[in-house]
Amino acid sequence: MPSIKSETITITLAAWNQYQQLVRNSADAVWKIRAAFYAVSSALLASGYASQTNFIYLTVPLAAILFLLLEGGHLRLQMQYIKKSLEIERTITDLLVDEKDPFLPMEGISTAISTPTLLEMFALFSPKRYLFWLPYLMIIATAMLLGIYDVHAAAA
Amino acid sequence: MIAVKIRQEITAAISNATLYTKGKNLGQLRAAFDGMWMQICHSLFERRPTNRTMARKLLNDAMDLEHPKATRDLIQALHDALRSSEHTLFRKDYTDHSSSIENFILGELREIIRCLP
Repeated sequence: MPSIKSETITITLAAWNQYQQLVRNSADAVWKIRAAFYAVSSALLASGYASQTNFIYLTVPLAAILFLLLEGGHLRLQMQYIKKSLEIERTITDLLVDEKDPFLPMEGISTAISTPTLLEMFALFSPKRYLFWLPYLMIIATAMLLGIYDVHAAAA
Repeated sequence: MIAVKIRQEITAAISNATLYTKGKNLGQLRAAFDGMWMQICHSLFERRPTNRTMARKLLNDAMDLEHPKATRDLIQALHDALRSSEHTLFRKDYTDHSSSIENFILGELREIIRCLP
């Protein structure tokens, strides 16, 4: 018959695996959104350049904001699952070192997450997270500059 | 039980905890803390655990044994500090955790110094 400790470790590891899977799925979604954004914005910039109107350039910032919000939402989900995963790691370490009262996550083992807040969204724009927002900013700036300086392919 | 230099560094941190929550001072405090638990473990058990997790295991095992009150208090204080340090002193995530480091210095770390002979 398995001991209570061995059962606890099994349950904890299963929960940790589940959180890791959710983090992986989230990371995968984030990269797909980013790849789709690069494809869409490149296509829009190319169309804007080929056409003789600035209107297409102006759609790039709009697309960028939509993709930014979508990616930001997934990132916030990912951060919540990473936090849960770190809490479980703390429990696992406590079990490994035979703590008499191992740390238990505040919300127990649960895949439920809280509704992301605007404050969390703003936190994504901190200087440390430049890899998140800088590519969007650069593509928006490129589209604006191309529009302002009226850059288009020479008419045939 | 611990080197004078280590004790001085930790006492200085307790005197001005805010100063030791960032930068070079935080690095020095981390080194001093690592030196301190290694020396205490060596002094109490004549063993040098290779990392903080192994030190915690050693201390948990030691807590099941009989010890004089002063030694028991020191083991408990060191155990509490090591357990807490991973989420305060050695925390690595992006968020600012200066206040948790300050609480660690003024709580767990001060308690160890109080228990040391």
